[in-house]
Amino acid sequence: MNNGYTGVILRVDLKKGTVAKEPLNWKNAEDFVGARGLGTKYYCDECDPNCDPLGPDNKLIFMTGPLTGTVAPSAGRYDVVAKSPLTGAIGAANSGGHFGPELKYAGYDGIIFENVADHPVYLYINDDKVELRDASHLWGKDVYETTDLLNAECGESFRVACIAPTGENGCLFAGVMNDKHRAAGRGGMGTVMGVKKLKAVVVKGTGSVRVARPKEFFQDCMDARATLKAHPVTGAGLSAYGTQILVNIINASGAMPKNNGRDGSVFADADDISGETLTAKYLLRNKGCFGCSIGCGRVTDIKEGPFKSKGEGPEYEAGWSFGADCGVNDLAAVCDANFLCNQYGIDPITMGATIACAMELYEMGALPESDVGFPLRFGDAAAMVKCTELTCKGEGFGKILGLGSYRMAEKYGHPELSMSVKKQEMPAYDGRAIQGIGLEYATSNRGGCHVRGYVISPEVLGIPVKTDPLVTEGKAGLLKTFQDLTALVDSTGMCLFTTFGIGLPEIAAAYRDAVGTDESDEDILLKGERVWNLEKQFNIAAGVEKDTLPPRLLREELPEGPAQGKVNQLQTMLAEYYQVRGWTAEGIPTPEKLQALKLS
Amino acid sequence: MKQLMIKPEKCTGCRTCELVCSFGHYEQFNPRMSNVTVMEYDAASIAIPVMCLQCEEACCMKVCPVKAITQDENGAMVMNYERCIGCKMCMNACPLGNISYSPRLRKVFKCDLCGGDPKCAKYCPGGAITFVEPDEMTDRKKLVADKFKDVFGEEAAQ
Amino acid sequence: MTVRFFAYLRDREYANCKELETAAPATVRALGEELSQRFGKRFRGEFFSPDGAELGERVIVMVNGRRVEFLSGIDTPLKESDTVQIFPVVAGG
Repeated sequence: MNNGYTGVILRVDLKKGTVAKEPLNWKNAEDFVGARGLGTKYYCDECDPNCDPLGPDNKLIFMTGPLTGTVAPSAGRYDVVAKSPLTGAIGAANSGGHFGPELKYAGYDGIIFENVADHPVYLYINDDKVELRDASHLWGKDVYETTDLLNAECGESFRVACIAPTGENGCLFAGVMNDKHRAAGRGGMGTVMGVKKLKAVVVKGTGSVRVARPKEFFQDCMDARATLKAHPVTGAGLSAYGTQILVNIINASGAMPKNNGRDGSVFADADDISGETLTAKYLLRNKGCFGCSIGCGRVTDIKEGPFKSKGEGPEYEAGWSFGADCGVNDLAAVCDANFLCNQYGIDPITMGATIACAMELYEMGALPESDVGFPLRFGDAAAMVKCTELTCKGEGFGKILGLGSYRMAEKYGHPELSMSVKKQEMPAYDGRAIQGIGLEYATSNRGGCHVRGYVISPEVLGIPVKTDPLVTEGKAGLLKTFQDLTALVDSTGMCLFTTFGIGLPEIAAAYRDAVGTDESDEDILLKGERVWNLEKQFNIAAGVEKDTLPPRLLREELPEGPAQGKVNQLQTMLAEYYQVRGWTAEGIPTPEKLQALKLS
Repeated sequence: MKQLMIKPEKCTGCRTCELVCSFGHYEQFNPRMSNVTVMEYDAASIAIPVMCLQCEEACCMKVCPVKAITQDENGAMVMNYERCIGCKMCMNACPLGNISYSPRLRKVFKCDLCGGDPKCAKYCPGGAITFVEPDEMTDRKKLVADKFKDVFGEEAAQ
Repeated sequence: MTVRFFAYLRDREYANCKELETAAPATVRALGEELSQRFGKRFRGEFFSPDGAELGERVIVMVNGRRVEFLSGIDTPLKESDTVQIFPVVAGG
């Protein structure tokens, strides 16, 4: 194909053990672009919204975008889509690294996995040769072991996406890990893979990705890359310090939740876990995903001490979840816990936030020490790492932690202490100190999440406009634009981080010249809005709980910092949000809106 | 004569070089049709771009039985596909393994310096690949000198 | 009054300063002048816009955690009990 797509989808029936190749649904590709959007469309067309996410009817879809594998900036991403076992909502998690592009070079836009295998298997893809192979010898192995064994078995040049024992043993927030260190992390996509007894997908491809208007496309991409290079964030800050650079500025804004948010959001020891400290003490080098000029990835090495370890990361969110949220100021412990999450394939945001919740339950006496096996107070770095390890290995109290904070807190009688939305933990920004991000958490289609509409950009960082984090006016419209644009970016196969430096015009230009369309920027952004509304439709049909926030964010005033005395003004913003979305006051897309988006 | 030089410490392993190379030669994105390949060593935490270094005493040129490899005005050893019979002698002769064979293209291929403006160097986001006169590789010396300038120079004293 | 520096403003040779105590100048603008005297013209180039009238586009200045844009801009008054945080434009996630 000469339009960014390969035009072929693999359909794998794990029960029958068959693999079939089918043509891509071009109508859907046009309307839903690729990756997150197209994967979700395939899912919604083929699956019952009320299916059991841990049952055989929940399909698992890997999908790339039309820009994946091209020279578009940071365009190496693919999405994993399924109904989330953590939230019951539509789950879509995307990941960088090199796996996605390799799948396209092998000749496939995506893979749809159906049913459940009767024994562990992995999918082997070597260009045209595609087969299911026995994975009994890999079951129980962690991400690093599995990847090394598969590379030894299939060849060094194969790219591997796999799960660890967490995904095999029912931890509800296991991710799909590719290239060892990159994660399709949130919502338990690895858990779904484990239920299917699908241990891994290995791929090697020798083909090409071609675009419709090569010369124009190349120029679009190089112009966009030059803009990213010249931008202080994408050209300097992220490369030098990684995403952990946010620690100090978010903390200065009084928005870094401390001790599960119980004690406000100013962490006195923030600088000890900051990007500056990480760079000075532990950074070996920075690492880029496929085709990325930003290179936010960190290769870090804790050379000595009780938390001696080596790996990649942490990112800001993990730095917060294992750090401030657990009251831990030991960066080596934070790194160690983060590396464990990579090795054992789990989402570090949910992990850290669940430990923080357990710490609060423990300190208030709701969680007996006999259940944990050791004291579990805020600030105890060793206990935090121990909890991570137990969850990774599915041992002892780790089995309960592996259910996520909501189910755990409910078990101990205090579901309100789970800092989650739709049962998925909110990340590292307090919605009381930054109003718009609270609205994002409440309305995100995959539950508590920052990367569905990262309004931290305008509210704290001033990109692309400066808006006051403490006010609610205008946040609804701003968030809608961010959510729609993000849905588009995710669906193209590009990385969201490019949007710190470039915007719709650059992304739309690359998309147009790749697929060969003459649609306007607005038409292209509309595809993002279409994806958003499709996800919402699914969630409504699946009976996902309404858009709200934990009571702490709505009622408990922040005790200190620049947002002292504030709570999140959700109701004000939510009404406006539904209005700008063209939804009813109850948050349901109207028939007119669905018709305008060609979704009815 | 300018030369491609690599600084592995600046390579993030993003493989942009592979993409721009295959695009420059074939208008397709295909790392396996690229004349440059990034080798990533996960455990050692390093990535290294590898490509033909255009030897002064080029074994590939010497061994070619049909004289299909010649040196162009930029110093690049280039393949003449009109003459090439696909015997792969050059692949065997290259001590650095920098000539590849593509089953898809059914031909051997190697770096041709893009006619004097190599795209890998032009678009490397981290500056890990540069195209410079080899006798002007003073960057590392300059780094030291720059530090002195920053500390003792006019601006710093202000 | 305390002034804190972050990211490359902290690490670059020309500033190379994590935190300093100083008598509170009248405004953020006066503080910028004082720091520019101290750190040189590269710092001035980061802190001020090219014409020197406003804050530069590559700097985030907060007083007690509030961006000065939402206070009184570059003329935001300062007092001894204030903490001023100076960041280059950063982002992450």
